Amino acid sequence: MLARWQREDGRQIGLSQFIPVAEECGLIGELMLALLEQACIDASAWNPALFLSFNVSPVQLKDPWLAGKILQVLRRRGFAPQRLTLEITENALIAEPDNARRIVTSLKNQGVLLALDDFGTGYSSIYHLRMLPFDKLKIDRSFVEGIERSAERAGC
Amino acid sequence: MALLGLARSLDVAVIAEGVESAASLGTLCDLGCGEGQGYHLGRPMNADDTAKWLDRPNAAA
Repeated sequence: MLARWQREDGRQIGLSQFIPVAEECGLIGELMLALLEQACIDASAWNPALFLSFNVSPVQLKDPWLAGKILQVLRRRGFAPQRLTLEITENALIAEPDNARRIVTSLKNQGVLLALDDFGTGYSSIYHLRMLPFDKLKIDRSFVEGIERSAERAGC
Repeated sequence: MALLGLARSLDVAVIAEGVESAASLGTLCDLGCGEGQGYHLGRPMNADDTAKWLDRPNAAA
């Protein structure tokens, strides 16, 4: 899931600009839950084989009630937890290891899937892969760019 | 790519970020990477356009 902030003049503001502001104001939690709710409404009309992926910021992992809040949104919108993948970066795990473990365990118990985001850019990647029961691993774009270049060199 | 072997041995699915050309998609498929995201596969779009995009005749799984 990608979010954009639309200004009154129609111009769209990217994540890197409005997320830090929301974090600073303490509104990131509410903003993300509102986005998740809208995404559940939209995706409910799609093929049930499709799933939603949702990023969780390090700031959100400080909230001990985050898992309950996410599950509440899913229940309210009748969206199966098995159709939601939570994406967490390695940096978020480093910042909040104990909270991350608690939140992730609660969500996984209800069927939510877990992805390690930006894999390969953090400090000790393999350690984090084993720390939590990840279902998916997202390989950072810098590795994919590398693949393309090596294929070009090989004349593919 | 060594990362794909690592993921396989840990029994974790892999998604490639930043798939921006047919060449990188082809290489990733050859390497056994099953999922990806990036401009080559689809640009960011709003929910209504996403629904249409998902229903397009030649939609892949």
